[in-house]
Amino acid sequence: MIAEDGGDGTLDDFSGIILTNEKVMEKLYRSASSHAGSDLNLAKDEIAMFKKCTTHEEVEHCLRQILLDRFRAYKAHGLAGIKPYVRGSKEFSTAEELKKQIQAGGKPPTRSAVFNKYVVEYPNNPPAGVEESFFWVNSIIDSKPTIALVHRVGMPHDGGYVYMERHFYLSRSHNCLQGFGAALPVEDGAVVLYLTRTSTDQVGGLGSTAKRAIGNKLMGSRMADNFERARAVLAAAVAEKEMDKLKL
Amino acid sequence: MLVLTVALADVRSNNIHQLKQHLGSAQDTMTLVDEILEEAGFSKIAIEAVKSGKLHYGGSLDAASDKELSVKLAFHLKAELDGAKEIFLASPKKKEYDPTVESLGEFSIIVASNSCSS
Repeated sequence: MIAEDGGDGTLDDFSGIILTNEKVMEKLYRSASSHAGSDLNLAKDEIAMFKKCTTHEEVEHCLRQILLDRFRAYKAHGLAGIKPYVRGSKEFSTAEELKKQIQAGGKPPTRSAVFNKYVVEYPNNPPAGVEESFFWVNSIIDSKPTIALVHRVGMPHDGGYVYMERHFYLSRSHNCLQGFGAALPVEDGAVVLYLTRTSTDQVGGLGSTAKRAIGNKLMGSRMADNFERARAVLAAAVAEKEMDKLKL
Repeated sequence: MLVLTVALADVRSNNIHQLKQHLGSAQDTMTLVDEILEEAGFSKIAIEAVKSGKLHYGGSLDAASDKELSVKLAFHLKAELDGAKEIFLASPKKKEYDPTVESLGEFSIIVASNSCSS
């Protein structure tokens, strides 16, 4: 977890981040500005920082510093604090992409206007009962370490709970991810839902529709496995509770 | 025998009346599964699947851009939900359905099995 005390975090919060596949990653970061096919997500000043690195240790330290800076900027300014990624001579705005994701399809499925407003305006005007946490995840994608900075925020609503998970920075591979979840009471129990959107340059361009259809199917299938496990755990807990009642 | 039958009918009638009253008041204040899922963009077929106790998952929400992959999931639990927030926030249960990433060749994305986190 980053800044577990609710503060601004320190470099120590990122000390567990290791760049495996050392030679490839060192070369990738040090040549970020001149590497036309680079899939790194970096801002102009961040590329300049990596150019000064001469060893793998320096590259790792530089990455941790950038992650800390990005965490602090997001925590202080929300979407407005996210630096854009350099894409050749252009820039890609993660903040704009995340805003578009919130607006697409009408509104997030939380049924809470207060919560939906807060996730756009974050960190301003936090509603009562809201709680949040930050952490990083280092995943190996295409044999390369890929770090995500994740913001989780949720609050009680209408006898249930609403939730948002935002990957507001990814070091490479794709651009950002945002998911909304809700567990809400209904007339005969409860309904749990989760909707997630991921932005990636890899499904854009030629054949975009087909790529997205395949990507959606793959993503849905894997997430469904995990969600099914969650459903089974909850159903088992309910069954156990019913059994306990019978014992009484 | 007749008295017993009438008495039973009375009890049933009262129970049904009480049940109707209970359901009526519950429906006034409680939301329907259909309403929530419809609002979230689930199709009629998907809603029926969820109501029948199945987990529904499907892709293609109204895309925010041509760079987007999306997925929606839902299930219906026919019981009161205790600790709703634990579904989303608690570790380690949360880690089991955390939509982070892993290699899928050309399509990177998804649920990580080979990741570590802070």
